[in-house]
Amino acid sequence: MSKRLLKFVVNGRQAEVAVEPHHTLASVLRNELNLTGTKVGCDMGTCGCCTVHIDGKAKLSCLTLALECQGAQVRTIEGLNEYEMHPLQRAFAECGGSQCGYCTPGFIMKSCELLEQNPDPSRQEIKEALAGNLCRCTGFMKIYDAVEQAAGELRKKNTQQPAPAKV
Amino acid sequence: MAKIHAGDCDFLSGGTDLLPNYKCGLNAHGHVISLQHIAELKQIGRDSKGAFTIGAGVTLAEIERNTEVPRGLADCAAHVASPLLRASGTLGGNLMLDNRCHFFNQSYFWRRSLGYCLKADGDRCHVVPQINEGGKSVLNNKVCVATHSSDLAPMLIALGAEATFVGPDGKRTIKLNDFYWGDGIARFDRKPGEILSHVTLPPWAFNVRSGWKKLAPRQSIDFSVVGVAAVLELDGDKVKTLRVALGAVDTTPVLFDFSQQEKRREPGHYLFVDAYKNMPEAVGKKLDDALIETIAKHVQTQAQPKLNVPMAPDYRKKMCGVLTRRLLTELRGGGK
Ligand SMILES: Cc1cc2nc3c(=O)[nH]c(=O)nc-3n(C[C@H](O)[C@H](O)[C@H](O)COP(=O)(O)OP(=O)(O)OC[C@H]3O[C@@H](n4cnc5c(N)ncnc54)[C@H](O)[C@@H]3O)c2cc1C
Ligand code: SF4
Repeated sequence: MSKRLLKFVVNGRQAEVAVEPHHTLASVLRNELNLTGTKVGCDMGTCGCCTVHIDGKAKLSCLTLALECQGAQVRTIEGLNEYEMHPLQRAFAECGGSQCGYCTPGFIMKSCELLEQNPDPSRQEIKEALAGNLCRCTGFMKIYDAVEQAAGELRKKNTQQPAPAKV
Repeated sequence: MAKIHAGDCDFLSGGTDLLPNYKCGLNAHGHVISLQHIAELKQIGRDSKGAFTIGAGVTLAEIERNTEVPRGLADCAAHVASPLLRASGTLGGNLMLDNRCHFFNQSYFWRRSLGYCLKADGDRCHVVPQINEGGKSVLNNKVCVATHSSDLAPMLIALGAEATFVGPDGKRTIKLNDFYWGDGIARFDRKPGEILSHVTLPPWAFNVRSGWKKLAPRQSIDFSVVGVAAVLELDGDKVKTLRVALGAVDTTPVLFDFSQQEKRREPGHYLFVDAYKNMPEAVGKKLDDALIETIAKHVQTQAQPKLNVPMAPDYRKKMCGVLTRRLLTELRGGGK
């Protein structure tokens, strides 16, 4: 099948790639753009490892055809923070929310969406939001702890830096 | 485009059912036409005539969060798969989900090792290997009993929804219950090149209590192995309207309409559940524990889950009764 040109924005930068129409976003990110932070676990939508943000929404990149992202804004784990660790990444490391680490990018991307929509989620809300991500090492408790810790840190950061006054 | 490729094309909506199936090499077509960027399919709300419609491209996450849809429907959408799948999965894809079976939803390698089956690439069924023909037991090379696992279909059927299709030959609207056929392969009455445009809820669906209960191995991610949808309207403490629909126990959703005895246009294959055999009277009677028990017993007796999705059929059959009882008790108390 002939390749098509895909133009989209990945982590804030314009990207142009020639892709096969049947290629998934996960394979294009990993194999064409070398963004291997996004992991592919089951490749069937069950595990949540391949979660990325498409136009601000957390979605499974293994079940999204790359060409469906024509003109879209895609954010992967690499785009979370360029120079220092994102509070979620730090909290996952500190709380032991990451062991083998394979599922971690997916968990962090989904948690990141949650905290953007709801800066102070209850434990039940965290559990529900992460119900589509599987981890076979941690037993989940440390992941929930990490999200709570990061939420606290982000709230503190946001109150310390008041939003710029509207002109 | 659909007209040009009619017969050899599939539509792609959220892709959460089509892509896993294509990855397993299950009945892949030569052309895939995306419906993801059609704005008309993404509308939910009242149309110009005041009827409540839900576009085929509306995601399950949007239905779950919508405050106008009947509670049972929002609850049902909230229990499909996982939040990540609901962000992509759509109503259209859910209603046209491919039927599921242990011997079908497997990799190409797995299926090849068993010699395939009727539904894809093969010539026999591993779930019902023999059928009765003219009094003789013969090899089953006709009937596929793959389970219909859509969650929204039984709920919308209980709510009396109608589906509108648009195709090369124009537009048509049919009752959602009539859309499904009792066959695991042909599945439903969709003409080549036709797409689902929207479903419409009747006005009465907003005056009744509705609810949904689902049994699955895990509370998240997994497909239902039993789904029970119910719609109840009481007149004082007496039953006025009662419709129960089962999901994941047969090749189609199964409606038990205690008030009108609505029947499907196409009765389905002979292994099909007969919802109306010995159906107890419910309308006009007081909905006490005894009546709920009788209704639950009837649903349980008629349900015939097959051995082709997780969990034993006996257990699932029993759970049809248990979940119906729990749901009706909850709805009698006013629902959630
Ligand atoms: C791990 C996992 C768990 C799941 N759990 C559940 C569950 O618990 N309950 C459940 O019900 N589903 C479940 N699903 C299935 C699926 O996610 C949902 O049913 C979803 O709603 C399907 O929608 P979609 O838009 O992704 O469908 P698609 O994959 O895009 O389409 C599915 C089928 O419908 C056809 N189609 C879609 N839209 C139209 C249209 N407008 N007109 C004509 N044809 C159309 C397609 O051609 C295709 O054949 C699960 C899937 C996965 C991978
Ligand atoms: S019920 Fe039989 S024919 Fe149908 S998918 Fe299963 S094994 Fe195949």
